[in-house]
This record gives sequence, structure tokens and C-alpha cells, in this order.
Amino acid sequence: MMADADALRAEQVTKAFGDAAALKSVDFVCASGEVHALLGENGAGKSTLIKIMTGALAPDAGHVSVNGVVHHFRTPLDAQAVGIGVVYQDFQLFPHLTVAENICAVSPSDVSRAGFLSRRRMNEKAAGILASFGVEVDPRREVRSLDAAERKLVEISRALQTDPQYLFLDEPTAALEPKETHRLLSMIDRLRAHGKGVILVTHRLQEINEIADRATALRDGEYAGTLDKSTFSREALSELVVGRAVEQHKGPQHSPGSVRLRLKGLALRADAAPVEITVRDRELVALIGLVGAGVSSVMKVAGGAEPTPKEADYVIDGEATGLRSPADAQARGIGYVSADRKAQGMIPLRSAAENIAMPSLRKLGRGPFVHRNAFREAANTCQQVFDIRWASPDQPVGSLSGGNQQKVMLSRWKVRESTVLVIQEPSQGVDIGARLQIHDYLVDFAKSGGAVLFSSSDLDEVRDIAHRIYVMHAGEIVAEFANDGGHQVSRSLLTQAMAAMFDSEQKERASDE
Amino acid sequence: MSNSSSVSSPGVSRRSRMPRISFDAAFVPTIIVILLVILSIASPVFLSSRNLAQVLLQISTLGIAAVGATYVIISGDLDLSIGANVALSGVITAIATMRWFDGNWVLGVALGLGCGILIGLFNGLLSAILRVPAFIATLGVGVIAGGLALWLTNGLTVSGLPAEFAALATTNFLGLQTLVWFMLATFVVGGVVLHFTNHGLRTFAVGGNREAAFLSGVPVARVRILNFAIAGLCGGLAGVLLTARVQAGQPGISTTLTLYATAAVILGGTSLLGGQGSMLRTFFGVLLIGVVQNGLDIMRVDYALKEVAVGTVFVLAAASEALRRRR
Ligand SMILES: Nc1ncnc2c1ncn2[C@@H]1O[C@H](COP(=O)(O)OP(=O)(O)O)[C@@H](O)[C@H]1O
Ligand SMILES: [Mg+2]
Repeated sequence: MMADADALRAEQVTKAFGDAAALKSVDFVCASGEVHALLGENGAGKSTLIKIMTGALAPDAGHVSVNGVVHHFRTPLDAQAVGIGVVYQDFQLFPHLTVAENICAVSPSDVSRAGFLSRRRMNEKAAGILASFGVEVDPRREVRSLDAAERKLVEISRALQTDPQYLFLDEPTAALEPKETHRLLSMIDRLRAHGKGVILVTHRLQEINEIADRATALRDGEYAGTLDKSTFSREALSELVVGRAVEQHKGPQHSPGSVRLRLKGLALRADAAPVEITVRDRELVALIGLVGAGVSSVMKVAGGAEPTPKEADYVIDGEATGLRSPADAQARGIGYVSADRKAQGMIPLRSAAENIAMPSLRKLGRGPFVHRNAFREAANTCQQVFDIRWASPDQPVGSLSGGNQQKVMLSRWKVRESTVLVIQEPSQGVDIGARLQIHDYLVDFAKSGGAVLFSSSDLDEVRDIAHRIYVMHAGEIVAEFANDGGHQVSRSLLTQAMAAMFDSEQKERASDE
Repeated sequence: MSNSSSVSSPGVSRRSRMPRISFDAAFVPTIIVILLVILSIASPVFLSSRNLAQVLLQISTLGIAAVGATYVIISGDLDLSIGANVALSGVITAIATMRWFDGNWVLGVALGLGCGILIGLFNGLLSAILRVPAFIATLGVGVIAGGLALWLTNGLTVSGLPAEFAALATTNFLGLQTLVWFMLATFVVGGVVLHFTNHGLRTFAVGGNREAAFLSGVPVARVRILNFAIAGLCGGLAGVLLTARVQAGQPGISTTLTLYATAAVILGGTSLLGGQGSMLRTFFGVLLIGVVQNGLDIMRVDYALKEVAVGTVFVLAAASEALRRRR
């Protein structure tokens, strides 16, 4: 291998946790001035590799070299000292401190005088750092008041203040909306222009296409290969990650039946036309829009997470009764999956089997008593259907990877025998392989008579599986497309629709100021 | 039960994030055994069956109250009205028996238990329906109940209760007083309901993630109210039995009972944040308190110093628990 001076390398890195090997002799190279995507399914070892390359974990064997010099980091500070910055996958800011305090916590001596922190200096310093990366966030705000994108940008700014030559970003876009992702990607682009090497972990092929120069995948802790920008395609990247040729869905292949849900007269804003949507049997309907467009409000009402408002008219199976509660929705055959699995989906410390059984306790139980064997049986059936990877159905669901957690959420409604699924972001935080399996399931579910309403910020996903697409903006439905087979709804058409909304929103904001 | 989470996991789980529950569960029992060894060396009296029966008797009221507290704490709430509930239920039992029902203690007991449940329902309505934070709601209800107990009795003990009523708590059965058997039965029934029924599982779900539980169809408000009612019933039972044992309704009893019951639950290793814990843990928490108090009694430690010692045990146990979990 060429001993290029300006590169960060991991060589023959091996790491095991107990007797489970997480990395097996992995090589990885990132040159300065390149954006290198690091791919792999959940559990492939990406985060472990990053922790080793940034000094948070010691490798069992192998080493890390920076610009040709071998280093053995003992702490993240050692790595920082030789120009390596990192934003880990898990949220690393102090929520109750201000942005400035969080940023200055890295080296507080810069902003203190005689041992006392100067709030003014702290804010000034933080403002300077944020401004230099084009981040518009008030340093005096508390971190918990920031949205997901702002937090990520603050985390990145914090990592950048030491001016690292190489920056690791572990799934920074997982919780971001398209517009926010766009902000983040342009920041990465700017870093590259300044000659920095950026290692980006993401499950979204679209982002890789957009920004990466090269992509390396890990598979079960092993190096699986590297692709160059010129050879990027959805198929090639998926195959690199999954390890076999994969069939993406190419638009809907079966036709829908009769109307199953009709939600009418749902007024989200005083100045917006009321929302009306329908979903048929055997149909997959997508609802898309930017943050604040009202997509999640519609999804919540449709799924019964929020009671049907009085003025709205929600007809389910021809009955105009509306929904009072999630339990009510479930009794009517509707299963709801929230976009925020952590806050609204899982009961993390309880087992996967119990999480799956939760809405079906009456069906699976014996009178008032729980029947754990029935839970496990149901869970094992779902495990077959969804290919869930767990040590056993008794494993706490919080310890599963994102994709497996999402499969557990869907399993709930399989066990409950729901005939309608209302899903926000079906593949959020889900790796490429699991994403395909979830798509397969949803398409089969629809084919066998089910109705699916989903929201998604992933336009490829929308185009791959939706029959019909509603586009929302400012609290109302502004467009409806049919996606009947083939690729009549092109990616660019959807992108245009989204971009148009993005522009008008910016104009709105500009005129507000 | 959840205790089976320490499965070996070939690369699928992130073990480091999850507390190793099996090890945790052994912690308090280990301390208890160590204390037993030390105390039995220090005093030959300690391990006598009479003294051990005494330990169980001493913790009976606390134990019954702690069973109820376990439910409330696992569902993510807190009940600070327990002690006052015990006092008021006991006083009502005594007054009802003596003054209203002419010595008919069965009716007195029914009214005492009813009073406990009612207090629990009040707590539940305030917390789960009106959404007053449980801390303040139950504190307020507790102050009211304690005040009522004093007012009803003018602060005096109500005595002269019938002997059969006393027998309810003090009859000897297989070497233990019935009060102890009541406590053990409460733990067993409480444990079965918590760990083997739909209501129990929902309790864990509500405490583990209220929002997620609601969205998966769990009737969150009903579960919380029911748990407050269970805690109320336990408080009522403790009050009734205490009254029977001391043969008098005492309005001022045990202001510390609330805190001891809560401490017993937490000491056992049930999380104050909710969603985690077990009835067996509460039993060991209660037992630990009992063993420490009894040991101090046997060694004739001065009352004030005894308080200091008990407090120290609370702090040490909680701190070492927290330290071990962090690792
Ligand atoms: N601290 C840890 N203790 C035990 N196992 C771990 C730990 N961190 C990661 N693992 C395991 O190592 C493997 C790789 O995990 P990770 O690097 O987080 O994957 P990725 O980031 O690609 O999803 C997984 O099987 C995971 O369960
Ligand atoms: Mg990871």
C-alpha cells in the first residue's frame, strides 16, 4: 500500500468484546481533503472502529497512524492532540448547559480569569466558533431548547474548535430532516474544501451519492470493500453493504382495493385548507413534507395517537366515529408507529417479547395473568417473518440495534393482527438490509389486503414503495401524485416539489424578519 | 421475568449498557447475610428463633406499606401519604369499632380498609387525571389525612378495643404472630400480581416509558390510579393491623413510616425513576432495615444514635449500589 503522507489509517485493527469479535483485522484509510463514507449494517463495527481511531477504545491488535506516524492513543485527548476530531453517535452535549458552556467545556481555561469563568468571554468565543462554521445558533441558549439539527451542528462545532485535520461523524444525519441534512452536508462540503478529511457514517445512500468521494463498508466486523465515486450506484452500494445483490422495490406492483380510511376536514392551521386524505385496502400511501408542514400532526390523528378533533371527520371502514385513543385505534384495526422510537415507541428495559405483546395482552394472556410462553411464541414467529437479530426474545429491546427495534415495533401490529398501519419514518435509523426487509414486509402486508399510510423524509423510500404520494406544506396538502408502477414519479419531480416548498419557506422566513 | 436478561449474546446485544440484573439482585441479600454473621458473633441472642421472629414482627407494618409503595414507584410515581394513611385508617378502624358500630370490629376493619383505598384513589385522581405531580399531590393528601386523624381523636389514642380484634394480629400461628403472616401473604400476593398479571406488566410499561405505553394501548391513567389504590389498600391494611396489635388507634404514629417504606423499596434496588424493580427486592430492602434496627436494639444502642446508624446504612447501601451500577 502506498505510504501517503496525508492520510489517517487504521491497520489490521482487531477488537473483541468478551468473546464476540467486533472487528477483525480491519484496514481503513481516509485521505485529507476527502469525504469518506463508512457503511455497514447495524452491528457491523463502524462505531467501534471510530472509537478505536479516536482513542476512546484500545484495539486488541493493530494500530492507527496519522500522516505516516503510528500512534497508540490512550484517551480521546491523545487523538485530539494529533488532529483527530469526532462526533460520536450518541448525543454528547450537556442538555442543561448553554451552547457556549458546552463548547467551552473542552478547554475552559481559555475563557477563565484567575480560575473564574467569564460568561462574556465564553459567549464570545462560542459565537466566534459557531460563526466560522456558518452555524446560526445563539450561544446563550440552553442545549435542550435546540432542535436535532442545531444540536448536531453544535456538537460538530465543538469538535472542530481544536481544528482537527480529520473529523469522524457517526450517523449525524440519522435524526435529521432533509432540509437539516442539507445544512449538514454543506458544512461537510466546506470542511473538505479546507483540506480536511471527513469520515461520515450514514445509512442513506442518497447522502453518499451527494457528498462522498469514496465509500468503505464493514460487514460483520470485516472489511468488505471500497467503492470510488465513479462507481457509486444504489445497487452497487447496497450490495457492498449487504454482501449480495439486492432487489430494490421499483414502485408499486399491485393495484389497490376500496377505500379504507378517509380523514376529512382536519384543520391544522386557521389559514390553511383542511386536510383530506384517503387510504385504500392494498394500498401504500406516503405523506411527505418539510418539518412544520404538518405531516406528523396528520399521522398522529390518522394513527389515533391523538384523538380525532371535533371538526374533523374520520371514516374508518365506512364508520364515521373517529378515534378517541390509541387503544380505540387498535380496536379498529389500526397500528401506529411513531418516528421517535426512544420516546414514544419502546419500553427499553422490558424484553422484546413483552414489547411485542404489549398491545395484545388480552389476546395472549390467560385471563388477568400474563402468559410469557405465548409472548415468546409470538415473538419467535415475528423473528422469522422480519429476520430480527436478537440473542433471545427476552433480551431488553433497548439493547437491540435500530433496525431490530423498528422490526419489534412492526411486530406489535402483526401480533395484534392490525389491518391498517400508520407509520412515521419506517426506516429511520435503520440500516440498508433491514430497510429492504421492512419494505418487503410493508409491500406484502398491502398485497394481502392491508392499508398503509406512511410518512418519510427519504424520497427513495417513497418512490420505491408508495402507490400514492401526498405532499404537505404549511398545514395543507399541496399536491398528490400517483406512483402507479414504473417510475412515472421521478425522483427529480419529488425533489422539485420539495425544493419549491423549501424556497417558499425561506422567502416566508425572510419576509418575517 | 425481566431477570433473565443476562443471556449470553453473540454480538447482537450491547451488554455494557444494560445493568446486570442478576448481580444487582444478590447485593442486598449479601449485605443482610454479612450483617447476620456479624450480629450473631456480637450477640448470641441474635440468631435465636425468638429474636428472628421479633425482627419479622418489627418490620410487618413497614413491609405491608412497602408492598404498596413498590407498585406506585415502579409505575413512575411516588406516594408520600403512606404514613398518614396508616394513621388515619387505624384511627378510623378504632373509632368506628368503639363509637359507631358498638364494638363490631369487622365493620371497623372494613371501614379502615375502605379509608385506605379512598386515600389511594384521591392520590390517583389528583396525579393521573388532574396531572398534579405525584410528589405534591400525595404529600398534600397525606397532610390532610394526618390532620383528620388528629382531629377525629383530639390527638388522643382510642383504646378499649375488643380482644378478638387484637387477636387478628397477635394470634400465634406456627411460631409467628398473624401480623407477620399477613405481611408475608401481602408480599406473596403483591409479588404475584406485579410479576404475573397483565396489570403488573402494564405497571412496568407505564413506569418504563409512559408515552410509549400509552401509544401501545395501555390505559395509563387507569394503571396509575389502580396502583395508588393498591398502595392505599396496603396502607389501610397496615393501619388496621397496627391498631389491632397495639390495641389502640394512634393518630400520631409513624411519621417516618412513609420515608422508610420508600427507602425500603429503593434500597432493595427498585429504581426511583420507575419501570424497574421487583417485589422480592422490596422484601430484602425491608428485611435489611429490620435487621439493622434489631441489631442496634440488641446492642442497646441509644435511640438517637440508632437513628444515626440507620441513616448511615441507608446512605452506604444506596451509594455502593450506585457505584456498582456505574461500573
Ligand atoms: N461496549 C460494548 N460491549 C460489548 N459489545 C459491544 C460494545 N460496543 C459494541 N459492541 C458490539 O460490537 C459490535 C459492533 O458494534 P458497533 O461498532 O456499535 O456497530 P455499528 O456502529 O456498525 O452499528 C456489535 O455486535 C455490538 O453489539
Ligand atoms: Mg454505530
